[in-house]
Amino acid sequence: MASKSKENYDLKATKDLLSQYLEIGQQKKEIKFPEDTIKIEDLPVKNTIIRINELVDKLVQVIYTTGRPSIKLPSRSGSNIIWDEENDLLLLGKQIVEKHFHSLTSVVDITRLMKVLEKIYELLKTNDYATKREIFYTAVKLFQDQKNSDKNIEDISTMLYTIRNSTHIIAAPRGACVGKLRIRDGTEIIDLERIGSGYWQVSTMLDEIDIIESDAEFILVIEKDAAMMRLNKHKFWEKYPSILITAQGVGNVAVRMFLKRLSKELNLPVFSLVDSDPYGHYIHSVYLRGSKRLSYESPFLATPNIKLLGVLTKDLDEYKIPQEARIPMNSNDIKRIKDMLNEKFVKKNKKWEADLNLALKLKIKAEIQAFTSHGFNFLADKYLPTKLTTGDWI
Amino acid sequence: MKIFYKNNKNIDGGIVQLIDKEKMMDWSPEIPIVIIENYRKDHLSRFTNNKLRSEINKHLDELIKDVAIPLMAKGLETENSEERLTLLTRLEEITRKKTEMAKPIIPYLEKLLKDENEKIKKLAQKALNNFEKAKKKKQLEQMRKKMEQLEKDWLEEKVSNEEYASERKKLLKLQAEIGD
Repeated sequence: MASKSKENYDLKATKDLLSQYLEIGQQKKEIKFPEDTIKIEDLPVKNTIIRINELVDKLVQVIYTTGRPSIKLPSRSGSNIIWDEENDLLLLGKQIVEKHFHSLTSVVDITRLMKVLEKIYELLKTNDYATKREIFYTAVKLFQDQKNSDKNIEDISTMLYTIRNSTHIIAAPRGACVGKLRIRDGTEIIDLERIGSGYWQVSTMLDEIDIIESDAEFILVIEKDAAMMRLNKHKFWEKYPSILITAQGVGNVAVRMFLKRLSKELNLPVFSLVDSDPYGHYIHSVYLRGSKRLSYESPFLATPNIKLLGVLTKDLDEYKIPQEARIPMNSNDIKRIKDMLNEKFVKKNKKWEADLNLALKLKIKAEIQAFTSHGFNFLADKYLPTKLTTGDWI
Repeated sequence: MKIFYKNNKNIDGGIVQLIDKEKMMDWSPEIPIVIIENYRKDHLSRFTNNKLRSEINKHLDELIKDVAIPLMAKGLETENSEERLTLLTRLEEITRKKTEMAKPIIPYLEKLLKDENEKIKKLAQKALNNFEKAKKKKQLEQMRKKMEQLEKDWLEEKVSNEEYASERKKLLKLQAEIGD
């Protein structure tokens, strides 16, 4: 199946979906979350500072009156993570945990928590940002391991009922974006079509970024940097007006938040292109409904209308991927597929369930790059346009 | 986002989505003007369809009229002089770095020349001077080009000594005025 670059595809199915989304977008439906879930807000600096002040005032008051202060925060344990079927999101329930200052078992945890709170306050007051790693290095002896400071950062976000970005603790930059998009960063307009052979690195300070204009008709999220490079080199986004974005694996907070904003503001169809393996499906699921660890941020991070464009297990035969480009699954892969098949959101999606069952039956996986066996440009010239034209997605 | 159709209200011809008024309302007061004018100057020419360009231009005009100017005017009219000074400092910087794009704010700066606060008056004057300086720089550039030709003509004795000296004097005077 050789690549024929002269073939023309009208992307009919994608355009039909775009029409539908633009119409829905005009109606601006407000999302209602279930009553048994907590409400998390994206706060401006001023309001986050107010929440910290209120929290500390209450603590001081309790210290003066009873001498036995404690902090209450929503539990982030598995039993408190709820799948909201209507909005297709993983959300945090209303279970509360209490951390006591006077208990020997929690004194270290509380001290760490207060240290992180102090650092967040400092960042907000000076309108500065820090990465999780930097927070760890503000008190190495106290935190001992970055896992501890990371956990405290998440505790504080939930304690303040806000997202991590509102605390000015940001992820290390990892994502890249290119295509038919113009954004504002401060007083500059960045044109993502005019950045040479490279990409725009998705900023972790997203509150300083705004979408100015786009003439894209869909967004393609790509798992692999190599596939992104190939499509960019080919100027795929120019031939098929689109925005390409990659996070080199599971999308970090900045990439997922940026994608969410693109999808919400532009009302464009969003597709994911991942490896045909359980990890690829997992990456898609994280973009789709959020991760369990950051379930409290799901409404700000998840893109519930993202479609799994490929690479599906059934595509391996349909696009005649040679046997030597297919890899046998190991026991971990099989376990992961079985775990995914047990997820409620997979069971609800029959096409997804069928493809995972097929993978389980065949016990094979393949990378996006497997298409190279038909030529370097097969992905851009044949596979993607065919799928986007016929609507062959999950 | 405001949607424009590249061809006959049909997505088959392609769409353009441009920021709308509502979204821009949340920005700092000094930013919309610069961004709108920057977009108009550097990005609008990508579209070859005249009708589309004219529709987008109309939307940009509305953004200036309904968002950028009112936001900035509101910021400059606030009673908090600290906030006014901060905004004016940013505006002064913009008039220095992006003079062309900041032109719509000239009338507002002129109004501030009568302000009671000396610091505000001074900053407004400084910002207005930036426009004047940019205008003169443009003149200087044109004059230099003219002088290059004039010098050739003078060497070939096509131009009189008096005419050359008079033009040269004008150039030197302008150079001195803007400290070039």
